[in-house]
Amino acid sequence: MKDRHLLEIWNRYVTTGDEIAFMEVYDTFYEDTLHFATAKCRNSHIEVSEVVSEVWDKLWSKKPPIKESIHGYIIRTTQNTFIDFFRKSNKTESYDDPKVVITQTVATAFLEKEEAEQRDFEIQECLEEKDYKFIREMADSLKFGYTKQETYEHLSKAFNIAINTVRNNRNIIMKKLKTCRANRSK
Amino acid sequence: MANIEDNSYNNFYDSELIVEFLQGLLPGDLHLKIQEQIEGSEMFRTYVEGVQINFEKSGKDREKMEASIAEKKARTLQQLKRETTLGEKLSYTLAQLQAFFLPNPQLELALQPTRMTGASASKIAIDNATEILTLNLGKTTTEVIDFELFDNKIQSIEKHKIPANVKDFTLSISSFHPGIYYAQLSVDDATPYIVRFYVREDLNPE
Repeated sequence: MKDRHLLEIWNRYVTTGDEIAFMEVYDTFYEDTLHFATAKCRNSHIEVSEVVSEVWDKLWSKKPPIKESIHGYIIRTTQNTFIDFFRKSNKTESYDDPKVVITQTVATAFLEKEEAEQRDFEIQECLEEKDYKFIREMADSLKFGYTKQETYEHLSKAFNIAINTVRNNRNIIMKKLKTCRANRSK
Repeated sequence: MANIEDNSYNNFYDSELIVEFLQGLLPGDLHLKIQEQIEGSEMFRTYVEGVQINFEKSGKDREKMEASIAEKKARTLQQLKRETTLGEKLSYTLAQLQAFFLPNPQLELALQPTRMTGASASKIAIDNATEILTLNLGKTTTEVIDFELFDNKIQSIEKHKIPANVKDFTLSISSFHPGIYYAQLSVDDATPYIVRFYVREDLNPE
């Protein structure tokens, strides 16, 4: 849904050069390109900022018409831009896209099914009932594929609070949870 | 909901959620869902690794990470806009730009007496963003003023009659190429007053 809307916005930029349309796409996807490029560049001398700048420069100046997923297109552009940089910097080596191995930090975040159930139990114990309900509702919405914005809108209606309050609630609850879990592990 | 190899928007959870995942703060079912996606999609895995690297670089402070991203985002945008200006600059050859900005000796000489005598307080302001020229006469006059614009080859570009009792006069310069221009203001038989102005002075190669 969100992607289709952004695709229309993007194609408005392509046909009219409307900078506001470009900015909406830029605001939505800049962060994704940065994180993606960060992981790609980590074992090379290639500057993340150069890759990201090049990606957005291509989109800004070439205005490529996009027919399918705009997010997929932008991420593929980031990947291909990184490969171009890699080839330029390593003229003697051909590029062989290494599989990204799950790092230790990410791997340690992985849980078995029973551990996930235990995690739920801990969360429930750490939080007051209303906070748990809030987090539970948020998780369900995100799990079923709603975007952050859609989830916030849903929570705003479900709990009859403003979207900004939803955002604040989430931060407060997560802080409580972090403190509680840290205290328990001592 | 898109399947895990599809790179649709829904497939990349936002970085806030990924950070919460890494810190073990999410309910088990959502945690497992993200985990499943990390295992199933190379693209998503790369993205999560990137979030993790940037989170660690920020001392595991999410707000610091967001501030750093916002700064980079602003810098990239600034760079894009600067390159666009450069692109425009490149749409003219250097020789063309040099010719456009070359002062006209005859008109430059004509500037001198009025400048010395301070015959008029008239000023021209150019807004390159809106492509509007504003002539500020300094004070209102009771006479009609002939206002004519010339390029540096003394070719007349536009001619207007400014009515009496007008203090500001504006006109569009969207069709003007970058360069040096001259404006002449005259009232009846009095010595014309000449002002120099530039359109897109930032493109001046000098």
